[in-house]
Amino acid sequence: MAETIVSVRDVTKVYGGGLLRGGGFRALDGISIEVGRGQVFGLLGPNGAGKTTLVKILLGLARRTSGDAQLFGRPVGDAQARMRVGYLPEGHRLPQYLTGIQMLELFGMMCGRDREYLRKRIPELLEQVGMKDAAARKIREYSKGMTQRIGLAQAMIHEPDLVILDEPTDGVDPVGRAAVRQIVQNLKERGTTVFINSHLLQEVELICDRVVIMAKGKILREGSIAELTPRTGRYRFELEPAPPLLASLVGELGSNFEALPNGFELQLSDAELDQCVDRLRNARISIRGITARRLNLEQAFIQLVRKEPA
Amino acid sequence: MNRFTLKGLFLDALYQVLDNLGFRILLILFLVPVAMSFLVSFGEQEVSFLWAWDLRYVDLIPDGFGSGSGGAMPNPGEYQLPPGFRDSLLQTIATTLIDQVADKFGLVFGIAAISFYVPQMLERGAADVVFSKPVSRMALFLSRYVAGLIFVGVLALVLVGGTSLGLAVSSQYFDPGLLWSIVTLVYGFAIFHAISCTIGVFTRNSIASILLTLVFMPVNCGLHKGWESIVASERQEADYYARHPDKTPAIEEDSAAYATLRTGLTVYHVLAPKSRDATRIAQGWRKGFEPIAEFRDEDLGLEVLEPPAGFRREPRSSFEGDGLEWLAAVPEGSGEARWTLRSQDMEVIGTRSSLVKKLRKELSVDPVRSDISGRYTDRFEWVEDRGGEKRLRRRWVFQINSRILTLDYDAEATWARTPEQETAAQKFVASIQIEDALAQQMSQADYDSFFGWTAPWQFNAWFSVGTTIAFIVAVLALGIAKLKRIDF
Repeated sequence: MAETIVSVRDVTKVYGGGLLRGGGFRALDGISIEVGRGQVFGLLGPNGAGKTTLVKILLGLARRTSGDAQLFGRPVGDAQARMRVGYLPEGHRLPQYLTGIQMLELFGMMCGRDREYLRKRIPELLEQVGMKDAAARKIREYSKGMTQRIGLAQAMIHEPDLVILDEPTDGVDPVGRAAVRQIVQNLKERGTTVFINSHLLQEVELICDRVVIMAKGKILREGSIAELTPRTGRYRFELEPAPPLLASLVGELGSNFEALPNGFELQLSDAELDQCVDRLRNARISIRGITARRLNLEQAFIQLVRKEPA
Repeated sequence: MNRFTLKGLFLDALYQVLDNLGFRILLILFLVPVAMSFLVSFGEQEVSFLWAWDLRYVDLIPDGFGSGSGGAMPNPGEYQLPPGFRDSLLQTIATTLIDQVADKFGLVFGIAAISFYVPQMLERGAADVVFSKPVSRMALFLSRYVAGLIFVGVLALVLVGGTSLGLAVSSQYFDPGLLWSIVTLVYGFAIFHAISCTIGVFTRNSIASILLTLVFMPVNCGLHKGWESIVASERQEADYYARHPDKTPAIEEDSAAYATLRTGLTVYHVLAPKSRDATRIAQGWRKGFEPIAEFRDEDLGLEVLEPPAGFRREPRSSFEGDGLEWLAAVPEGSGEARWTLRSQDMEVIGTRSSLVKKLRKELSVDPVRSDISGRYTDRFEWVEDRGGEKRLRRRWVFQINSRILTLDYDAEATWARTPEQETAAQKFVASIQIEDALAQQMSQADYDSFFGWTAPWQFNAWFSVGTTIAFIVAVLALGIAKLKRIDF
């Protein structure tokens, strides 16, 4: 694996514990994850799974009860490490007394960048998030979508090595979502690690390399999108030409046969798949493609979370 | 944290202040007196509006301010106000602006306008953005504190600096001491703003922060006043028994409740911020406030506030020599009436009682007990036949420290006994003030009179400033410690 950017080992977070307040609420229960350089990492989970708590621990906004967490090999909360992180929180509230440009300038300076750098960086970033025209207005005059866009810009103002996005497409229209996807893609291309926390599973499926699914403070599954979306055992055959009477030729091999305009779909075991291919070839039918059908991320997620005992 | 970070934090504080509605309202309000100070020119005898419209002070005060008679001015067209009137007037205006408008109204309004800075920073969503930046929580907290100081500093600079400049340009009046008020206004505000910020961290609620700070202001002031009163009354008691050793009571233990109260208030006075001292320090740096007195003797603390109505002081007369003389032309008789105020050393003239005894023998008149500014005074009254003219004579004898003072009145009897002259005479006698007597009547003045840079520690300005700054630092440290422990 490439250089480890985020390293979390057996982290636990209990809210409200103590002698007087009793056992408290366990928001994180022994979480361990590692994220390498250049990865787009998705953190999924139902409400109350502990996703935001984990992010806040990484940023030093909340203290862990036990375990170890590091960013760039430094303890979380370390100013040097945070200098390399950009963060867009969920439901963020940017300083209302500033204009978009002022906010980017001040946050850039807080991240140690000089004015010369910011003079070049701000216009290109505003262009990127589509906020060039509204940047001179006060933030309190922005719509929710505009606030989200300028929020995204502030997370990237200092060209961080790790960008943490908590619900980045919240309140953004479809065009804006596509722009966010493009931004994430650009970040990935320049080697930036992106940590995404989102409810929009289709977005995550489209842009993430690796995903962790959490529930009740624990990790349920972790892996690539392919690993998290198992095969269903159903195969789609694309044929040339698609002859009539296909059902009588291969239908008896498996189950749930479904004819398609240019082929068919069928539930098959591995042995049945070989037999099916043999029969089609013997009948001199050209096979243009065979696709193993998978669950999409949403289906996999729901299946996984439902298995969790209440 | 590099210099860009620091600059960013400062700019953030500045932008926050400039966007504040309360700041804008106060700025506009404060610009009014500043503009007035440029547009109105105060001369020695007249005030000029917009460099064109001149009005004499005496025309503005139809009652005859300064004439001493309380009635119509004898000849207002020729009346000249005493020197120093204009400076005293400007001093009064500046003091009212700074000590009343800025220090009281401005302080309360300022606290109300910026107490939300810290709670707003800690709101969900806002805190996540700000505290995820590579800036320590302490720096962010202090930047909000500094924002408040900038708020008040700019307003104080505009009000005090602007008004001083205006008075210098239009009236050629400049008191460098006034400019120190910029520092003391910020200093006074720094105390309550520290409390407001720390309460903001603990409650994370703007309303609670404002209300608790506004409650703290009078409570703090009241507790210090309580301590000042106890110290003043104890000092007065000690002074009294020092003067009257025969009346000294047997030593009694203080009651437990009183002792506890006294200890509690003393501890509070030592530890708590002494916000009212900011005004005292500022007043000390300004030009001394000189009430317009007809005559003043610093050593004896004696002041004659106004001359006898219709009389003029004889310029060559001397208080220590043959006495200060006020003369008036009288239509009847010899044509002259005279007041004389004279101070003589007890070593030369003898004690007050021996002088009274001597006068009683010489004049064959018994004195009447009277008082001047609370001092025990013997008053003699007799009629003298001078060349066929009946003269009314009165003499007051009283003592200040080792000096025996006599006040003499000599006038044609019929004229002197007219109701108008009797009233004028009474008013003149009442205008003689002795400072020590005033101070003893007002316990509040006790702390003020002791307060200074070289005073004993309880009244010492360095001690006051030092303990107040220590309090501010402690309160801010408490806020920072709490902020560091918050899980957002």
